[in-house]
Amino acid sequence: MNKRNKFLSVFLSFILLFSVACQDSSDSEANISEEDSEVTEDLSQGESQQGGSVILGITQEPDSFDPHLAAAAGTKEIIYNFFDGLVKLMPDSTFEPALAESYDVSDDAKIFTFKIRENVTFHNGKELTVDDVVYSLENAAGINDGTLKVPQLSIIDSVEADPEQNEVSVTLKESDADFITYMTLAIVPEDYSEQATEPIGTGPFVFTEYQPQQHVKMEKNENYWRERIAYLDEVTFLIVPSADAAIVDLQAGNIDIFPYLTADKKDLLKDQYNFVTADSNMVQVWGLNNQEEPFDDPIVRKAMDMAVDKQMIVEAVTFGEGKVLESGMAPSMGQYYNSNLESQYNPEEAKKLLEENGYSDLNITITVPGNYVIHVQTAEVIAENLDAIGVQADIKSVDWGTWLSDVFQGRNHQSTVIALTFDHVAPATVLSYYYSPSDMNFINYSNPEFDALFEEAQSITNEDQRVKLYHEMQQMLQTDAASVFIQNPGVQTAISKKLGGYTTYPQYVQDMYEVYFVAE
Amino acid sequence: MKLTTGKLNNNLDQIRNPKLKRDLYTDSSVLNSARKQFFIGVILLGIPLILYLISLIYKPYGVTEMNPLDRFQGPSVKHWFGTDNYGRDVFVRAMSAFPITIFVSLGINFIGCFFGSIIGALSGYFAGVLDYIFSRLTEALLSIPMILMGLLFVSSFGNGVIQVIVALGIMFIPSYARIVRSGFLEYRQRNFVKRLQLLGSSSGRIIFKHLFPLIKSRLLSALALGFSNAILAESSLSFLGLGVPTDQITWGRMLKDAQGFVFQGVSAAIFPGILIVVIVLGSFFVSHSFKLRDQENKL
Amino acid sequence: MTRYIVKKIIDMIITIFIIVLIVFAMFELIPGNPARIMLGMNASNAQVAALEAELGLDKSIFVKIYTYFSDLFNGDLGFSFRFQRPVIELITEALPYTLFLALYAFFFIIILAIPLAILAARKPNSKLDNFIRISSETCLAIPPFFMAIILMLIFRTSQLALQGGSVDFDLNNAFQSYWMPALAIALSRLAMAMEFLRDSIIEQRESDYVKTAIGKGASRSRVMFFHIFRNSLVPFITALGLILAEVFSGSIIIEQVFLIPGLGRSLVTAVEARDFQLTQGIVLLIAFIVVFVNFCVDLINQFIDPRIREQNKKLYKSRNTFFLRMKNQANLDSQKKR
Repeated sequence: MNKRNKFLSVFLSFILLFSVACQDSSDSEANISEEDSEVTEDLSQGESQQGGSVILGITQEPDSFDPHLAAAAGTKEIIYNFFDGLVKLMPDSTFEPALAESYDVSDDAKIFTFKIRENVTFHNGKELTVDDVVYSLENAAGINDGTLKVPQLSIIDSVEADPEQNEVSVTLKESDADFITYMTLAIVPEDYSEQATEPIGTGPFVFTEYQPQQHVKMEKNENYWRERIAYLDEVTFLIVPSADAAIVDLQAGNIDIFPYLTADKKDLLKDQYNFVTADSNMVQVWGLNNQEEPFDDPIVRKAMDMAVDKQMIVEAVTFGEGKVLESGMAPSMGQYYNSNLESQYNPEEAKKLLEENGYSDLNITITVPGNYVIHVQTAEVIAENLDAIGVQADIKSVDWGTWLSDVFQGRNHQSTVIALTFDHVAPATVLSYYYSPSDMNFINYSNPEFDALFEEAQSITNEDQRVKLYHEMQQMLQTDAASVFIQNPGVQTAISKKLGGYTTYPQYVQDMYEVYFVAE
Repeated sequence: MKLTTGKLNNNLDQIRNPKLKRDLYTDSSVLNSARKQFFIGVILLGIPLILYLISLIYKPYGVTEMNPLDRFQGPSVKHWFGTDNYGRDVFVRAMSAFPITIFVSLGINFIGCFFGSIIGALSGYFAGVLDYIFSRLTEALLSIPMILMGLLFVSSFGNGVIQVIVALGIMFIPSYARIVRSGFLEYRQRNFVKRLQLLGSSSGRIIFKHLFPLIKSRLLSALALGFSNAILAESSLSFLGLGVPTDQITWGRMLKDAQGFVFQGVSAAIFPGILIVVIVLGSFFVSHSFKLRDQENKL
Repeated sequence: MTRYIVKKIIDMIITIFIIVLIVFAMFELIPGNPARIMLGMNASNAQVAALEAELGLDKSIFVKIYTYFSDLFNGDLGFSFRFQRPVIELITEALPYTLFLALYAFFFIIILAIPLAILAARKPNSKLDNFIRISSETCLAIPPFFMAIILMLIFRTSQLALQGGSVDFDLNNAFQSYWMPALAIALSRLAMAMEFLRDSIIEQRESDYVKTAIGKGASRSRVMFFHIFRNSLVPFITALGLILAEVFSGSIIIEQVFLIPGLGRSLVTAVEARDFQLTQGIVLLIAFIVVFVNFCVDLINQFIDPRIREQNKKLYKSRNTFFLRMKNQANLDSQKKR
């Protein structure tokens, strides 16, 4: 009797759990059948309306608000709204004058002269002067205090102001055609030391509050220098611990914009949200350590490139939204991107190649940063692909801090999966990961020919010539199989259907200036 | 989230007056109930085992075989437990995780119990300064968050099953030490111990030959409970991203991996979850039965 | 009594000393460079080195330990370089959330455990008793974060949804908005409290004085509440004290699932950023709470020492109250002193 009761109650508890299980799996089946139906891509572009407040979900705790010190992409996307640069990067990868009304480049690309806009005020009411511009450049380049804050600016030799003409001229140590891309650098007021905690710039939004683990708040800059001030009154960047945790809140409509969505979640949210695939310049790569056995042998690297089914990774990990890459550059790099590289996928050939060269029982390790689910999952698919050609792959997952110091800085790994992101849309920044003297070259790729091309491309100004060189470098990376370039992960941004004007850039930022509530 | 349930139960036992248990049941029913509980526990523990044996014969898919088009399926004849976000068969995966889950859990408890018993026995038997030092140490160890310990072993020594076992095993030492210590403190004042000491028995002999057998059932009950706590702790560690490697999965790891997709297909999360509950519940019953038997022995 | 408290405080200081040393040792062993973590991938090694020097991370461990202890003695918990703020500020901001969550969960445990225990204890080993016990043990067997996921699935709602989209913590709405995480913690800890109370109710019922009361013709409900239940409470409270300490540590993971900016999330962030001063601060606080609760439990344990119990039992036979018992305890203490 007693026994039976216990069984009964245990049984009942399971039925309960089970019913939850079944109920939800039927839901998901329904979702799958609807998957083919087109998810609306075009944003509602109705009449714009002044006012309103927006909550944007982010997954990273900001580091320093000082625009010259901030390093994390997650911080830069927030503080973008507080500051303006001399130029502004536009969605089509061109540059438009911003705090500089206009600029001139000398023929040898060594002297850049900026005409500074007048009647621009900082959030604290102080007027923008040439001295502020000089201070900002010198501070970032480490000229005034010896600490280089933005590595690309080490090329600056001197910065001079001409108050009469309201002009600033920058002299470079050597010519650099990419220099203008770095001039999106935030201009900050001179003699203000609280940037790290209370940022002050000229941007369309004014910082109001930061609560660790909770949110960063900002309100519109009523005295913005452009003709139109921001539409929105207030923006809250809400910190959520993970993209998964945000889903329910998105479903409930509590978050208006969420930029870290994986494509599989679209179906859950399509009623209230529009989706934009961020046109990022991100490159997901399976980095093979060129100085570690067996990847020191180009043949093995070649075989790896042939074995990995990139299309399957896109299907399984980014749910069809990623773009397969054969190059170390993403298509958003425009003309610099070499679109002629062909897929090497051929598992049979890879297997043969390995066998012929005496690599029959290969056993490799893939180290992944465990907090980035997408890379862990990609490694899982790679391991499955390698299994098909008789290579045993072990996945070692480490936390982000360990990955940065051991794998990235220490280069102590056999191979790793990571996405490379770039602060600037300069092709040199993107390919600097393969330039052998670079700190970023965590795969230990070393090819003197590549290095020579890299240096040459930086010093010349002829655009066609530069494009040709960059194409050649990308070809070289594939021929050498420096690493396996996987995809440009299609990270989705969900935008509430109530909003319009959301704009994406090849740089990783959240531009709230353009966002507005659609008039009813 | 640590081995806290175990710790708690021991403390509760100290608060409880064992004598009063007698009032709850008549003597025969205590035994009867202990046997029943043991029986139910074994049956619950047997369910995953039977499924595992089936999976040895019937294994329609590979453990890592992916089929993105078939993802997020509910349970069906084709996929008994449905499929996960890669379209992998959850049944096959859960069954391949079974031995590793058990190994991890046993390993954690082996380390915890082995070192815990030594520390507990020494501090309980000799008391005094040694006891004081060990008590402070275990108290301090209890306050160290699991995430730090996990990070220490997983990040410094590479992630693997052994690292997880060692990290959590250390976290389990204090609770075992407390159980053994309290048992030894209770018995060391007894006349028979004093008599043995007078007769010239060595301390080691008294500890191992005479005292350990006395707390055997108490330790067994703690082990059964610890077994389930270890599964829960391992899954919590996986949740913080520090668990076992992806190619040596446990149920906790499966649960963690499925957690991001619960809104699309819940079966990848619910079935490993149910298996955990079955195993844990099973070991609770077994643990209870040992405890009841222990009380019966005492009376 | 004073001696006992002084002894406990000395114990606590020693324990905290050991904890600090352990955490320091762990941070030395765990790989990961805080400066590199702050700067990310797109920083040069030179920049990382510069930041390290600026944060004082290049000093030897002995210097760091010495500095930490000397600060600690001055009541300074240190400075979090991740947030660029004093640790004490960050902790005082995060603590209310965790405290509220823990107490709320605790409240759920109490309001669920008491009726369930009374129901279960009415007829030991009956169908109802077994059902209640097994369901609560099933809850105990579910990992807390899995419980949270099940709750989210069932109610299709989350923390932010509960707060009505507001992002600020507001005590007025907190009861309404924190019920789900609190329930998730409470359910997974319920079984212990419930079973404990059930056992002690049964135990009390079998005791002589209750039988006497029934013999005297007191009504069933009267006996239940005035005699049995009340007397079961004291040991029950002791058990709750232990559960409270667990609820605290259990909230670390729940806070991750439910977007609660409490100590648990701060701890995970601090560890991930290798922010050792913040980590130390939080670990010490949690340790302090656990030790403090244990200390209180010890006190209550002494209070219900069998000797005292015997004394009390005589009193129970007359109309007793909880307060009378306290008074009795005070008398006993003064007798002892004499």
